[in-house]
Amino acid sequence: MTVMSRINQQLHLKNIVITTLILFTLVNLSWLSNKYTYQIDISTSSSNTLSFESQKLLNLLPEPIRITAFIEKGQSIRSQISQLVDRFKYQKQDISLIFIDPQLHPEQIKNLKSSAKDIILVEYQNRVEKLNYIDEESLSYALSQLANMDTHSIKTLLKTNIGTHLNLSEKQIIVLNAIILLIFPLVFLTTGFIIWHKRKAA
Amino acid sequence: MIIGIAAQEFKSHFKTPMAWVLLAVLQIILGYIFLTQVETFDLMQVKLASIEGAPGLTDIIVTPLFSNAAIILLLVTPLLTMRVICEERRNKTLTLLLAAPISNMQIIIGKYLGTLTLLWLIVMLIALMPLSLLMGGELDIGKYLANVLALILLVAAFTATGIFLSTIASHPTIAAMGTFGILLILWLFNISKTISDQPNELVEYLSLLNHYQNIQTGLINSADILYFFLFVATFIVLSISCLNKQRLQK
Repeated sequence: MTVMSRINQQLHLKNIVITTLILFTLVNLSWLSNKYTYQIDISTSSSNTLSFESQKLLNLLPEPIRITAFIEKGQSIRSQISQLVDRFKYQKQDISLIFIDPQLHPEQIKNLKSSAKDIILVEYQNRVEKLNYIDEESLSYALSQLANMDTHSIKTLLKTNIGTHLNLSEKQIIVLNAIILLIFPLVFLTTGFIIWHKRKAA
Repeated sequence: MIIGIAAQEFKSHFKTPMAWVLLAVLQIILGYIFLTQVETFDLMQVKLASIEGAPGLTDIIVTPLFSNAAIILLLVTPLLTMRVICEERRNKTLTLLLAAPISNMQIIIGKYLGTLTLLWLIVMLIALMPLSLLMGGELDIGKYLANVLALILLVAAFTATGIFLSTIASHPTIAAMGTFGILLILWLFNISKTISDQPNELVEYLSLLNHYQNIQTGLINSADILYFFLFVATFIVLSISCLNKQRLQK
């Protein structure tokens, strides 16, 4: 009995040690996966890749860039801005982004002398550009102005999206509705009912 | 042996009416969401045509469909995974399974793959809906595939959490509630991004929604993909460890 309980105890300990070691390895792997990343844009419209003009512009800016966004907490636009800045950061790592809630820091907004609800400040080499709306085109344009570069090529950065038209006839829509909302659910429900009936009979 | 257990688990789901009813309900809910989005796009397309760089079919129909599907599957997965180990224990069949010449790892991975195959079948049904749009429009196939990949990885993470809770819980209802609780907390971690001026990096990393949304955009980052693999591995390891402990206590 004592031998058995001792073996059992050893096995328990072995189980704990192995699990801890594996979990420790997994935590380290997650840290490494964040440190060394590789990304690829698989969207057909390349909507997540900066245009050639923006990439070229960022390569010509040696100093760090600081972006301050005065946007209220809880706004979904915050995550959209983060995603956009991440795209720029992938090309140039010394870009920092800070969010400030204008309701919590009204004095900072007062100093900016702007009536707009959302304000984004882009700073480069102690010069500041004020934006009310931010996308790749506006940010690249602001950066090229701050660096005293030619802004002409930046003005045509708009990407065309795929699938802006949908031409489905009424008949096609009715068939689609019937297949999705009627035929598929009916097949599943009928099969479920048959199984339930068989189980009940058994 | 793992494939055998997985096949048995997969078949067992379809031997009860629950899986079929679930498939029908999911099809109706997601089908309704999809068709509503199609109608919205149909009403908007004249306005969109005049805007340069306006979002396309994939952004307005496919991405919201997959976002809604993720939330609905967050509710559904605990119902499918709650019985996996817990029910075996309650029916006293787990003792038989543990006495068989198969390792705990084979049991957990087999059962995990069996349930995951059912959830991947649901993902396939969801993925079929946007393809019908090719009759009258054009899809951003890259973004569409990214959405499918994101949902495949997300349900894999959901299932792993469910299996773990099913291994430790004494009752299926507790397993389902526990799974739902954990997944909801991990889902809501994303809020820190919008409510805090400087969000916590660890909290942001742990957020399931954060990684899911990143993949949905079509930008495939190795960190996002590995997050899901490591998430699954963590819960599978914990499940195996718990089953080992239970086997030793017998």
